[in-house]
Amino acid sequence: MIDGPPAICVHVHEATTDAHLADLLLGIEEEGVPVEVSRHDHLNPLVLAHDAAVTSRLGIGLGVALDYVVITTDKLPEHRPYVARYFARGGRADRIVGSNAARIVKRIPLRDFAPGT
Amino acid sequence: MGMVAGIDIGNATTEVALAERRGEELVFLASSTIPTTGIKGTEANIKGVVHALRVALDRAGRSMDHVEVIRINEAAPVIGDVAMETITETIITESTMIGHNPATPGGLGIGVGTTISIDDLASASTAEPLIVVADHSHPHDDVARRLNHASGHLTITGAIMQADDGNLVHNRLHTKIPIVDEVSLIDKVPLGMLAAIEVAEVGRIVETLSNPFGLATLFGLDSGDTKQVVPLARSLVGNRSAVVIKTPAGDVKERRIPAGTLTFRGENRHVDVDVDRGSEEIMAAAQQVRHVEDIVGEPGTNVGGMMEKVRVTMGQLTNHSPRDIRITDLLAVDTQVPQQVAGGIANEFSMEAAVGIAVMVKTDRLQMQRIATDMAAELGIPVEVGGVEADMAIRGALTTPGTAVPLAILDIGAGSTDASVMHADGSGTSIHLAGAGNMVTLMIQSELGLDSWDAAEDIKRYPLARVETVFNIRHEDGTVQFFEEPLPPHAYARVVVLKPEGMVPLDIDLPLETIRQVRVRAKERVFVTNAVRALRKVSPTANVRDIDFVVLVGGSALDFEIPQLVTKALAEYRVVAGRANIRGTEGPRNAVATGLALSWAQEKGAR
Repeated sequence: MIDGPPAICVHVHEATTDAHLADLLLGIEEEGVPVEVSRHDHLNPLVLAHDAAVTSRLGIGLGVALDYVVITTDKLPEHRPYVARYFARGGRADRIVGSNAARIVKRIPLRDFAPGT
Repeated sequence: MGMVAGIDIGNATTEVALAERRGEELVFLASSTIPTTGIKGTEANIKGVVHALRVALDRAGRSMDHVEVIRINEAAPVIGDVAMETITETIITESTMIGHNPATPGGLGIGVGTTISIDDLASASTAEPLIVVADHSHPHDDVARRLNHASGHLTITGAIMQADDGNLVHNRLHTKIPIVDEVSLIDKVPLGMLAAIEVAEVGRIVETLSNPFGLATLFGLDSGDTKQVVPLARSLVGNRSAVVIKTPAGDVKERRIPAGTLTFRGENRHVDVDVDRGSEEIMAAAQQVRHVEDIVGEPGTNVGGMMEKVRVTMGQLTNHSPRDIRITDLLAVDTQVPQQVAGGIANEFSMEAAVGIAVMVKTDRLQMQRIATDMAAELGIPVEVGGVEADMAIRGALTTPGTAVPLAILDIGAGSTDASVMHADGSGTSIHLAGAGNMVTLMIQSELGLDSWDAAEDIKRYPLARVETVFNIRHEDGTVQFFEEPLPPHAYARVVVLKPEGMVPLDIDLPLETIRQVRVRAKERVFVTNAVRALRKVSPTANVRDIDFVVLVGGSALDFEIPQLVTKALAEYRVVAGRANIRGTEGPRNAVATGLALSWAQEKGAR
């Protein structure tokens, strides 16, 4: 997959539905960065994120499983992700996580993950 | 034993020089620097003094009973204050324009049409081109669906949105149109009016809406109307996306706020100057009056209010009625301040002209004698108030290797710039000028539009860097530094201030170079201007060239770039200027404390 087009890779646990992922992906799309989603039977979001990051030609990966979303880069060790947040807790949180993953690619400052808290 | 402690109580720090007389010689044993407790010149200082003294004694391995005498400084009786007033403002009436830089606008190009609410789209039937206005109650897929549906029977040329969904909508449209999003006060966008919308390519800025003739072409304006839209076009320069709406009474005005006049009152003449004319003319007027006795602003104007505010603050600090406060020096600096545009609907900002003013007020002698009495009672050691601060500073400064009289010292503090000169015959002059560290902080704060004074202080004091990747930063000078641990996400891609205790990300969306320039320019305009102004005043011939050596002392001399800026500026006058190195070991600190100890030894030796 490393020879695919440059994109953020999102590795999600196979039980995660498209509807659940929608906000996360919209956040990435609004920033104008390509994204690729694939499903796996792994349950550890850290492993999913790390695998996604090393697969991504942009070096940025997301892992989604067990109520967590993890953003990491191909340079970080598996157990030390860059950002880990709760997933699908409503509000705009997932949009912001998606947007920030794209902003890491674009090298622009990230948005506040939890505005107003 | 013959041990003396010279103690300098400053605005920010209390410094001790501990020395012992051995025969004819005075041997320095230890120094210490402790933050001053309370406001300089009040009893609250004593706590800090005792602490500082104990630290120095510990370092020297001595105890309090070895101290024969303590000398404290006769503080300079001046305090300073700063103020800033904008002298222009931009007002939008009737929501005639939106000009801002949303992070991700949608689409590309120019669209002209009549504004219509997205809710009315289904029932509309017109041949006119339309610009759709959508508030954030409509999610992106709903907006896209309605626009796609309507594009069958209507001509839609653009969209204005409240939510940050420009790209999402754009990606879902069959017919692409320019979209301006993140318009926070979308309710204020007038409906049924002719509007033009422009979104520039990535990395470009709007070209048609910022051009008066471009607007004339789009709206069919005659030559008279075109003259009217110049301020509108001008205020859109530099934006990536913009909307202009043509309403009957809509307009963008740049108003000059009448700033009023300043009057410099001298012994036998006074000079008026219009603040509107800028800092150069104000400073020229100040030079025409020798021995300024008071400076007043015209009542009922901005500058009048500003000077009044300063008088009230100073009155409170010195326990005087504001009427009795005499402002004896003033430094004016032109600056630019980002101000929210009145009537704007997308948090537009405009750079407005402003004048920053630092003033200085002479006060009564501070209560140093009383502090000395209280201290003597508490410690059981004689405490003397020794000599004028500036003279002591010169004595201390002369311990810098490579210096000789005639020598001038420049002490740039927070509130005032003090200069004194010692001539070859030992006589001296000293002066105090308005404008110092606080003025620089104020300029940085206002020019960068920072909320907090502390953030501006940080920018003034420490170098900047930009976080480039998860593992590295790039310093101001272009060098790269790597870290073993990943840098925190909230610092990612931001400009950070490199404080000794760690990096602090700045919450401002400006390139590092811009922030650096604001900082350097503020320092140059205050410190360099005042260094030259001060030296001219203490020079016997009113010429900076007639001073051979200039030594920088005090807190600002510790700054990472001020000494270089001053050294560079004074080199043009062939003056040797640089940061002091008191006793060859203390750097620019401890000058007054050292001078106090030396003066005691000299008096003892003479006796």
